[in-house]
Parts: sequence; structure tokens; C-alpha cells
Amino acid sequence: MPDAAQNRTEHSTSLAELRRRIAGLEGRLPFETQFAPAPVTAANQQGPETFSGKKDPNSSQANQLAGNGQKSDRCSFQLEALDALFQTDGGLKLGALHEIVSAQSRHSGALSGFVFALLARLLETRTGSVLIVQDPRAAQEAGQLHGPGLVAFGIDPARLIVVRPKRMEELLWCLEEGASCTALAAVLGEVQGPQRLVDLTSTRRIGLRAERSQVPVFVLRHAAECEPTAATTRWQITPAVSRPPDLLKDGPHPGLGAPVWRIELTRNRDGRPGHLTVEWNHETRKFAAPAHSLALDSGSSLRPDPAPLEDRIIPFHSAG
Amino acid sequence: MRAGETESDAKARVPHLLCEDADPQKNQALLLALADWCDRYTPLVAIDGEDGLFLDITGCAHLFGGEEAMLKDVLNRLEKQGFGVRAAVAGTVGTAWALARYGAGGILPDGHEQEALAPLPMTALRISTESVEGLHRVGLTTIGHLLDRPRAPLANRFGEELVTRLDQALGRQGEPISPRFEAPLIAAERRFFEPISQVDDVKAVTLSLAGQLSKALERRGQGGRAFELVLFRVDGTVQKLMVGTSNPLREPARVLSLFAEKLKADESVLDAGFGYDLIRLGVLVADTAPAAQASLTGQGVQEAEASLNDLVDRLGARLGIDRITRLLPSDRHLPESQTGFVPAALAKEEVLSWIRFGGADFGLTPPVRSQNYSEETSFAEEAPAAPSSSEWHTGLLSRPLRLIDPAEPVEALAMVPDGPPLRFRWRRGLYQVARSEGPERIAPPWWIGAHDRPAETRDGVTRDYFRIEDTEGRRFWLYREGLYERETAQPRWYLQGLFA
Repeated sequence: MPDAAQNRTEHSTSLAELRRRIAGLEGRLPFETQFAPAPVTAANQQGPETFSGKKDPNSSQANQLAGNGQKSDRCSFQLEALDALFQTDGGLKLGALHEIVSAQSRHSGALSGFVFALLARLLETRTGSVLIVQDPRAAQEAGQLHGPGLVAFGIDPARLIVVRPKRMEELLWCLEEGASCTALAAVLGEVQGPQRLVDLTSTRRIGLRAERSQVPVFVLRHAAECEPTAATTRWQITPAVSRPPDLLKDGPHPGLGAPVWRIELTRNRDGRPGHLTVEWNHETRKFAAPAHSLALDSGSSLRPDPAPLEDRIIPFHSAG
Repeated sequence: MRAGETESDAKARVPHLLCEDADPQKNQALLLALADWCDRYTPLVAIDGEDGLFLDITGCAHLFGGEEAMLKDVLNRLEKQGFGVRAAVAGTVGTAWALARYGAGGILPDGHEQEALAPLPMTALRISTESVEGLHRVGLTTIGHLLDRPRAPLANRFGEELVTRLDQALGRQGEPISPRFEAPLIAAERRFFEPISQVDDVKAVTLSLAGQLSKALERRGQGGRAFELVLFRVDGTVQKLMVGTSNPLREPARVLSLFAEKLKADESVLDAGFGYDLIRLGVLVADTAPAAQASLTGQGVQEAEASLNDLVDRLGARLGIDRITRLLPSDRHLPESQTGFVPAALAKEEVLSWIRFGGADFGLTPPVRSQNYSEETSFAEEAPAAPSSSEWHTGLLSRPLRLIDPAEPVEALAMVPDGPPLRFRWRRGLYQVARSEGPERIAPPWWIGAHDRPAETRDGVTRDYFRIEDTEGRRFWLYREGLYERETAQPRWYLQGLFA
């Protein structure tokens, strides 16, 4: 039996070596996660049973440590179904590039809602400002930031620095500069439409800097196509119909409920993909899963070697 | 050959004469370029008419080995560039002007103005031609004739100007020149025997100059808010680069990094040609910046602030300061004027606080800052206690995250005239309204009256806002403009915001 186990490890290392060589030939840089043994074991531990409430004692301990004020390298969503999609059940990795996409530019309300919800959570724990680098076309298509709206959403507009570069090269340069500035709480880039310059190389550069400085970088892409990038995660956001508001003390409220978004984590190098419908409570600054939606894990995790280890692009047909 | 001759006369006399059309604009541009070039001698250079320059060399001559050596250097360099130059150095502007244009030029020692001016013609006094003609008519042809005459009759007959000019020339009355640029507060410069042209060399020199400036600034207890790098090319062209900073700055490396961004942004900025023979770095605007003392507790905060300011400066140096903005709250009724975007480097922290604009209701607290936080303010402004969740609003988002400005017109269909729309068309897409909230009426300020308002402007019309969710869950902020029958017959609908 030890012989067989050894064979298996030899097999996997040679496979990894082969992958690295192919990556070298194709001019791609190999990704760390490809070689780290952690994802494999983490994936083996995570399975469908993660959702039945059973948790790894180690990871919950890690969560507690992070909760006790120790500087954590992750931002927890405080929503078990979302946190569980990431390694050690810890939530979103901070020192990385995250790409958040909407298929149509009229979904930009939901897209910005999700990102600012993430920011609101981040700003609670992290000090410093947020650098927002906005493509002028995005501001034109999807609107300017509105101070009173941000305040109501739980974000202090005084902590935002909005940069409006003229050209795409300048936007990417600003993101790189921001990603290496440790005084920032987060960096947010906003891009309208498909952009040729947001490619593997440029996103890889930003990602590396973010990793060094532990500043999370989010790239919002309005009406973007699925182009290959080196982002750690890619989220696709679509709006969803809100629940009727709860009964308040003065009777049932006639109007709109809390914002609800359908989140598809289409790529995750730091865990596995999945999709979920969440609700945002801006009072408590917390995500909640509405009762009628269930956290679903995409099929890849059933296999022993899950999809995140590959640089695979999953095309989604845009709705409507 | 004299000025005023006709071209044909001149050509008859000198057959091989080359003729060019006069171009006053190009002459002026050349004079400006020369003025820039003269900046190497003194920061105070003024333009005199179409063909003259004033240089205030007070306190500068010793840097060039005395007035004589300086004059020789100026004439020598300008003649080498192909100009015919006449120059004079004197204690007053008027005398120097007169000597350069009508006298022998050269250097006039202080106190000898009377003797030097006496033989010169009246036109050397910079007075109007009528005055000159009038003086000629009464037989006064040289300045010497005026010197021992009573002043009152002269002033009566030929005007104040004559007496004033005479006094200015003799030094009895001061005369300021108006220099083209403000002189830098502090400047450091380096001259090169052999011109340099490599960008790296320029950077190295800038760093060393910034080091000199930093010491001077530290002695004054100041930091620079605006820096200027002036590059003098061998062929007389002068290039100027300017950067502004968000906070008073002293450290040489950071000053250099700002200029490095500027150089990187546009390679064509630095066209070295045959090289530079003089580089000057000056502080244009300075601000008090007490010497930094690392505190035991707040060091991390200070460092973070410094690196954030550094980032803002670097981005501003490349993109332009006005492109790095922050959100400014303003107390207005109409949503589109509630958020302003102001340059981050110029805005004051206190103004940008959103606490008074509804922020306190949502639990915003003033940021803790070690810097600029005097004890008085910390006692005066007590942090409002964070409200408990029960005090918060009922959980409805009443304002959108994003505002479309200007609001875009939509075609909407409503069931009742005052009610929410049933469906609407925006940017060629049709949206079915599933749920709505409203109306929330936002009236214009009362001082914009409804009666004297021109019909075509949209100011001063009442708006009824609706929060709308369509069948797919997208949330919008729509308003109907104008009240039925009172303000308008056919109200229009606009889409102004997108909710999360």
C-alpha cells in the first residue's frame, strides 16, 4: 500500500511538472496554487458535506483568532455558504485581484451594490481609504457615485478617493500604484465594456503587487465579456427580485425589500466555484441568504482534483 | 539705410538685399524666449516694449564675478546666438534704458546719473512724442536742459509724466519692474561646464538640488507645496516642469519621484537637444511644516498618511491634480448637486466630512487622526455616540448608490396621473415595474419662483421621485417632473439613479 501511495504522489508531481513546462512554453507564468499541496487537501476536506453544518475544528479556530482582532489575511462574508467556498472557510482572500463582472451595463446597480457591500464589510475592519479608479465611460454609462446613497449604504464617502484617468493604460497604472500602497483599505477599478488591455499580463502584475502589500484589488467590469485574466476570483452578478419586506411594527411595508443579488462565482483559484442568491442588510452590514435560495456547489468539487487548479474559462451566455 | 524707407528705395541702393515680411507675433515669441533664457541671470526679468528686456540684477551680480563680468557674459552669449545687443547697467531703470538706447551703454556707477543723462536727447526719457515736440519747440533738446529748471512750470506745461520720468531716471522716485514670473521662494541651481542630456543625469542632479532645498526648507520650518524644475538648453530654449503636492514636502527622494512621473508621462517633455547647461529647482509655494517628530503611539498612522499623500501626489503628477478627486458634501435640495468632486490635494479634511449630511444617522464617526488634531478641537467636537441599531432608519435605502447626471428622459406609462409608472422605456430597453415606492416630493428652492421661470428651463419644477423595482429585480430611481395642471400639462419622466 505505501508503494501505491508513493506512486500516486510521484504521478501527481510529474503531472504538475508537465503542466509547468507547458505553461512555460505557452509563455504563461505558472500559478502558485498549481503546486501548493494545500488546495488538494482542502478540496478533499471540503465536499458537499461542508454544507450540512459540519465544520473543520481548525478552521473555526482560525476564524475565532481572526475575530479576536488579530490581523487576518481574509475578509469573512459572515455567511457560511459563501465563506465555505474558500480555503480554510475563511472568506475572501485580501492580497489578491478579484474580478466582478456583470453581463449587461444595465445591471450596474446590482454590480456596484455587491462591490460596495464588500467594501462596507472591509472598511469595518481595515483602516485607510479606498482608491476608486473610474473609467470615464463607466461613470457616464452607470452613473456617478452619489454621496448620500453611499452614506445610507454604510460607507463613509470621506474615505473614498476617486481617480478618473483618461486612457486605459493610465487606469491600469493607477491600479498598480494603488495595489502597492499599504495605506489603502482597498483598490477598486471600474471598467466599461470589453477592454483589450485588461489581459493576463496586466492583471497578473496587479495581482502580484496586491499579494505583496495585502491590499485587496477589485476590478468591476460593466458589460464585460469573459476574457482571460489572472484574477484570483471572478464573480458574475445579476440582480434578483427582492423579498417583500418583513412586517414592521406599523404593519406590512408596501415597498421594496432589501437588495438581492444572484452571485455566480465562476472562477475561484482559492477554493471552488459556486453560485448563490444573497441579500444585503445595510443596517448590520451583513449578507444573508434568503430563505428561498439554497447555496449550490457547482459540480466540480465532486471530483478529486477540482477545477480551480486549471486556468479554465467558463463561457456564460448573457441573459436577455 | 534708415527705418521708414520704402522697400524699392532700399533695393535700389542695395541690390542684393533680402526682404522678409514683418511678423510681430514671432518677434514677441522670440523676445519671450529670450526673457526665459535671461532667467539664468536673475529671476526678475521684465519685457520692455517690442525689443527690450529689463533684468533686475540686484544681489545677483556677485554670482557672475561682478557687474562688469556679468555684462560681458550676457553680451557675449547673446552675440554668439546671433543677436545685436546693446546693454547698460545703472542704478535706476530709466537711466539704464536711456544709456542702452541712446548712450554708450556699459556700466554707470551709482550717483552719476545726472552727468550721464545730461547730453542725451529728450526721447531718452521715455516720454510721449507730443511732449518731446513741445520741448523742442521751446528750445529744450537735451535732458541736461531740464535738470536745473523749476519743476512746477514744467509739470504745468508738459504734464506730470515728464517730471515723473525725470525723477525715476534720477532715482528720486522708485520704479518697479513687473517681472514675467514670480521669483521662486527658494531655488537651487547647478551649472555645467559640459552640457548633460541623459534623463538619468537630469534626475541625479534634481535629487541633489532637492537635497539642498530640503535643508533650506527645514531651516525655515516649511515644506514645498509647488516645485518648478527649469532646464536651460544650450541653444537658448528653456523648459519648465511644475508639480504640486497635497502636503508640504521636504524629502528629496519624494520630490524627485514626482518629477520622474512627470518625465515618464510624456517622453517628449524632455527634448534635450544638445544638452542642458543649467538646471534649477525652485520652490514656488511653501507652507509651514513643523519638523516631523515620531511619536511613540501614532507612528503607524503617520506613516500611513504619508504614504497615502505620496500616492495622491504621484497619481496627480502623472494624470493632473484635478483628476484625483474626493467627494464633497454640499447642502442642496436637488440630488444632482449634493455630491461634488474636488481635487484631493487641495481639499481640507474638515470640509469633506459627511457626518453633518446624514452620516451621523448611519453611524459615521469622525476619523481618528494624530496629525492636525489640536487639543481645542478634540475637546470642542465630541464624537457623536454611535446610534444603536434601533435608532437607525427603518431599513430602506432611500437614496441610490449611483446617480446618472444629467438625468435621462424615459418614456413612462402610468395608470393614474399622479401614480408610479407601470412600465417605462430607458435606453431602448423596456422595463416592467413590479413594485414601487413613492412619491417622495423634492421641491425646488422657493427663491426660484414658478412664475418668472422661463418655459424651456427645467429649474424650479417640482419633482416626484419613485423607487422602482422591475420584474427582474433591477432597482431604479425615477422622477416625474412638474405637477399636473399647476406647473405643466404634459409631465415628463426622468431616470436619475440606480439602486443596489
